[in-house]
Amino acid sequence: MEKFFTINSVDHLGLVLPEDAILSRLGRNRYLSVMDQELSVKLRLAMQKAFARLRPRGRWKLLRIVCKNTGEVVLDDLWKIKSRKFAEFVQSADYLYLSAVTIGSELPQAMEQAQSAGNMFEAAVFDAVGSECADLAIELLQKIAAAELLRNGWLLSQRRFSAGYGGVELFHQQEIFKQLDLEDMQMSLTESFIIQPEKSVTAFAVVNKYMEQ
Amino acid sequence: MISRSQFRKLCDEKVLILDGATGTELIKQGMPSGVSPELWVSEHPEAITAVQQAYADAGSNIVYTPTFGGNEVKLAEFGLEARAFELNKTLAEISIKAVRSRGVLVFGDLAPTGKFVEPSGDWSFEEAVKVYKNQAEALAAADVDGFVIETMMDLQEARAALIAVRELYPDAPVMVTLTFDESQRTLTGVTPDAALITLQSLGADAFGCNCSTGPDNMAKLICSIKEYAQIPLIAKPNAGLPMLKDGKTVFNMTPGMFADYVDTLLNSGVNLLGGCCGTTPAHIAAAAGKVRSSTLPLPERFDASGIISSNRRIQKLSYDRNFVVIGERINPTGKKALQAELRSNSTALALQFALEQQAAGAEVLDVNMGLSGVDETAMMRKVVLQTLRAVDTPLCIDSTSPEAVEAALRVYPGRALLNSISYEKERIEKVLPIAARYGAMLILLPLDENKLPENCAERIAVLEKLIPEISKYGYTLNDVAVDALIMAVSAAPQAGNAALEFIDYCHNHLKVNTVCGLSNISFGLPNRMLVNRTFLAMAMAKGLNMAIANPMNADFMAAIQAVEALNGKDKNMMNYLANQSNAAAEASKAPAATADFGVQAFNAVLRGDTASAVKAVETALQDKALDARKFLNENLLAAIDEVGKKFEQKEYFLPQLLAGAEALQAAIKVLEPALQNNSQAGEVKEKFIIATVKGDIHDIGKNITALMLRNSGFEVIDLGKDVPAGVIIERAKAENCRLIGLSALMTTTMGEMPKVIELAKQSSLQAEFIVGGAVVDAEFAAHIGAVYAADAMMCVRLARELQRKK
Repeated sequence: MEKFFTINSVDHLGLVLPEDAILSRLGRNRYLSVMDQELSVKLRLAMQKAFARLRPRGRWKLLRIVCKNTGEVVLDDLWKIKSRKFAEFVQSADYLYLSAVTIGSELPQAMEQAQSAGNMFEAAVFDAVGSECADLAIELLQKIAAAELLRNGWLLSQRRFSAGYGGVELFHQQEIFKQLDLEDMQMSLTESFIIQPEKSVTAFAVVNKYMEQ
Repeated sequence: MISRSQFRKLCDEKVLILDGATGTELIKQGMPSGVSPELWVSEHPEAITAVQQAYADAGSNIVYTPTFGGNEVKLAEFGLEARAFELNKTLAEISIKAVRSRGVLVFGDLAPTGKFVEPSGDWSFEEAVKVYKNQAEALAAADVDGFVIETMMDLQEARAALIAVRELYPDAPVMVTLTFDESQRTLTGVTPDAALITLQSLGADAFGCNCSTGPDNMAKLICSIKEYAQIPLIAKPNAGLPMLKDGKTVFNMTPGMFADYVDTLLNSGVNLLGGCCGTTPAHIAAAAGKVRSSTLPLPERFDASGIISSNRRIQKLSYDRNFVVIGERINPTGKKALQAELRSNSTALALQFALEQQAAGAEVLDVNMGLSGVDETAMMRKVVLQTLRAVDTPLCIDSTSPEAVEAALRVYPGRALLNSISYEKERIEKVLPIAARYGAMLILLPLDENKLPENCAERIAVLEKLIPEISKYGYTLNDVAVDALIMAVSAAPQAGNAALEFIDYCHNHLKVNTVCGLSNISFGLPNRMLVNRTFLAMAMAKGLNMAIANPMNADFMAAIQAVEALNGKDKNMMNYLANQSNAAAEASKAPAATADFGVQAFNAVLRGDTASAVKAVETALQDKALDARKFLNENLLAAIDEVGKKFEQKEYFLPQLLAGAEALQAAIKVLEPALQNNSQAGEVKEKFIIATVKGDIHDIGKNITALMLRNSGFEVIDLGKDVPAGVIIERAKAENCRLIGLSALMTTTMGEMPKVIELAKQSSLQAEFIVGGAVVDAEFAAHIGAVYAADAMMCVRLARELQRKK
């Protein structure tokens, strides 16, 4: 059984609240911004409220690269991706790493509720926590996978590539959904291929085999 | 199995050599990638035998069983969980057969499950303990010499594994290594010093790190924690960094290059040295050769008592160090709101108190959940786990219930302070063994089951009975703080002197930490804060170095800073100057107390303080002659303009902008009836249509902009998200609206924006377009015939400019 070529799930990614990144996303300037202690505690409480609503989980697997040339990459199940930049990205790779994470629907729902109630302070903080934690989750998943692959002598790139960028059309999210069975994670796609719930992310990376020096 | 003392003796005699990488060596022996290594090795015992004999030949004193993925959770990924016992036992037997006859020890390998244990994740701590117990039993059944818990990225999972082994085999040697990245933290944010303090107090026999980095970084990491190490330190670095060479993964260190770091590692404090990813028997042989020829002395051990930790921070507590405030507020006694919350099973207020106290300077947080109608044990466990998701401040577990103490200490991912152990039967017989089992530091209360010790001599007498009891569990005086037992001077006039004399005795004679619940002294007196502060200064002069108190009291915190500046503990008065200069500057900047409700309302909106803004307006409205329109313009709207200016100057950022806007909205709602009474006829607001374009469902930025536009006097018609061009244009025509804002967050949806503008042209709609969103920029906006707003305030400014042009 080739474990890496089937879906590997992490049911709850143990994130550490990325406070600095959240504050930066909210526009804090490290040198100029000043906030009094009372509002600062209110802000941190809202962050914690959001953090408590996260259900970060993810999936990854490896795909075989069937064929690659300057403008097109063909993967397992004859999945074709036409993009020069993407082809360059996988040029020297042995395998493609495919991953997806979601923070779950509880925080996006709470964000909607806060907006409906006119509590934009909380909504904005929830949004920033969700975005930064989704980024952190995809990175953490990649590090976990990298450690496991390295023990098997395979090197996973730190760089990531996402659908919607670099000429990889967003409709490829459909194939990503199929490959990782994301509906099973209560994720879905809109007509314009936006992932639901909000703050869900997918990514590609590349893997190279081991050779002793 | 060897004993803990035998293992310690081995470490005291020489630097022990561990093995190197196993996974990649097995691949060289023919193991295919992606299979279960445990199953494959059980079917190919000759492969691991060859690898481990090569490590034995290279000089390894200890090899690990090939059971890295042998726990039930990892085996379940291959459908092998039912064979966990059999596989672990078999693999350990193969290792023992391979190398024991060569004098090499075999340690049973326990490694991560891949699940995140609470509080980092949602996996039950007890489940984790159970999984590791099952694996440890199988390894012990094969008669391994000891255990190693390795490559852990979460301290709580490492604790679960260590507790599992300790509960089964109290005298088995257990080594623990975590994996720290270049930032010297694990992926779950654990710091090496916090991990060391936690695990050595819990009974680890050696601690260190493996994987993730090469020997240079690992030496730095080991060096940074050696001053806290009472136990031997381990380094198992990778063979440098993995890199691509001709499209293949290689590690950049040859055996010779790896061995060149041996002296650096030994100097940093390493007592057990091996290798991880990319290392081979040749790397281990080269390193072992260097170790054997080294003339460096064996690493020194240090006394690390008097240190507590959370999973992300340590806190030193010592009678001769700086004063430490233990925040007292997470305690329902006398706090009705907290009592009500806890009774409704909510911990939100406790969490708020944790954040507030940490922000105010508490270095430790006391947690007491004793309240009628609340399951103290369950609530204590819950609050401990949740608090440590929010703050990194170490906790002081405060309970008289042995069950609550055990529940808290068992899941606490650090070394806690326990409040308290007295010379009372239940405390000595039940609570003290629990504290010792989890390695907690103790607060000693000089109380017994007889009368309350009123004077110093009686307290010393109780303490002298208490010290031998804690010594039985290996505690020294460095690992305790003595409670000075403060009583109310209103009831016992000599209570203050008795406490001061006792503090003096503890500090100067026993040289031990002293702590007190300070506010008891003033019970029943007027101006309690004055009495508390004065007594604090007197007690600190006698040597008091900790207090359980409210850090939210700025005068109290300032008094501590002042005493430390005066007694020389605050070197060059740096802390005092930093805090009190800031306080003075803040005081001069703060608006003076004013009876002018307009100024109060202005300041409240500026601070984003909704309650104060509403109160100021309500009070102002008591004046029947108030000109509401003037009040609005000169105070409330002037304040939000000032907020906007501060936002554009980056002095404020988004939460402050929104807090100000919300305070303004709440204030206007109160003022609204008065505004309608004196509204001017013919007053018409400028309309502004706003929408997120078709295909896009992101609307937070659009909603924030709508809020700021409303606050700035526009009549905002918000069409929502995923809005087709036709709907926007039709509505603009129907409303005769000339200002339209469009938002898009994705490259794939920003293409809708020119479609809306084009449709406006086709429909002969004379409108100005403002566009915004993460992917939009000024160039794109100009290209499609719009103007670009980088944020909500810029949109307000542009809307005003366009309004004026019209």
